[in-house]
Amino acid sequence: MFSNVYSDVFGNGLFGIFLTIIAFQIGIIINRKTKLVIFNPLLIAIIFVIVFLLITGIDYEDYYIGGSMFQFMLTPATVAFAIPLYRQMSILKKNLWAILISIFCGCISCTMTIFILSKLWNISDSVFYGLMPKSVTLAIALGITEELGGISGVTCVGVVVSGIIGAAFITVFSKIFKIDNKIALGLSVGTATHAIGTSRAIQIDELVGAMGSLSIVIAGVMTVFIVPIVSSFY
Amino acid sequence: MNGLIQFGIIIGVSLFGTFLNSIIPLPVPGSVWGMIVMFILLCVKAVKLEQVEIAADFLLSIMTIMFVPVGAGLITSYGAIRGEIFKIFGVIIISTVISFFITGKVAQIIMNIQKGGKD
Repeated sequence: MFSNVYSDVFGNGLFGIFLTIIAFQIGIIINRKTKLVIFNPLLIAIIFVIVFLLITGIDYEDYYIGGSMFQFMLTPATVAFAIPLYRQMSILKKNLWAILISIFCGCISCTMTIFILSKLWNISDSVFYGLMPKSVTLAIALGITEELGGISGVTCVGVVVSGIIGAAFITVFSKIFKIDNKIALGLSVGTATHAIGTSRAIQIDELVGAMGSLSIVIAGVMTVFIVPIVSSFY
Repeated sequence: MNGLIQFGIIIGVSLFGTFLNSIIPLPVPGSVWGMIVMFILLCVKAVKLEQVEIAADFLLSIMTIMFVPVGAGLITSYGAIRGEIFKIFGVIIISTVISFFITGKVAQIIMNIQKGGKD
């Protein structure tokens, strides 16, 4: 009888949706209370779900029935990135070459660093493929990982950690590296640390934030084409 | 415009992007094709900003939560990466800092050259 209850309740998509929403709310609350970048809501939510499943012994597959509905929305959400990009057309046109060349250099240096370090440290193929797209926004990164056949969990960790580095150290990096131009700083944040870094940049300065969100999209599209070429040498 | 119709337009473009992914032999995700198509539609004014922006802003604002299930999927692949966890973090941190530095520096150099040329 109890096995029936289990499959009815937890084998149901509603459970995964409910747990995801609760976990994310807990993440937001902890983030607001502590005001610490390291307590990123997404990071807390992921850890919460993992700990919850481990403690209760509920299968990830059962959780994923509902959880997959969120992932399903990623494609339309990525398509929606076209809208903020279109809104920033005037900045884009004015600084076209500085924007395109610097983001291209950022994407190349990122993928090359991952390539060289992975070779040096003998990292396995599926982990390497999972790491390759780690500086771009998760929706695009996951698409790339899927195309390459990497481990999507690694991509998630990579993307979230990169983003948190950007959000936590943007002002420190700006000083140490002497990147004092607001447009340049925004390009750095968006290219290296995507949406999580940019969400912090918007609080610091509007222009930095606008350049950040523009770079998220451009770096994402460039990485889509760069990653398969660099990966083919691994 | 009605929010549901806005969603309909975005879903339609997503579907078309997925179609492009399956017929074009490039490792470009359907979502990125969809984004490119949507951007072109906006540029040629086949779709107006007011016809999609409510749904688009909503989708972007709830985007972060969509990653929770994938992230929790680490539970199933943890065994495969356990031995490499420190290397993985090393790669993530170093590549992020380098890419941050290069992007900003290159942008500043180019903008300085352009400014110098005008003076």
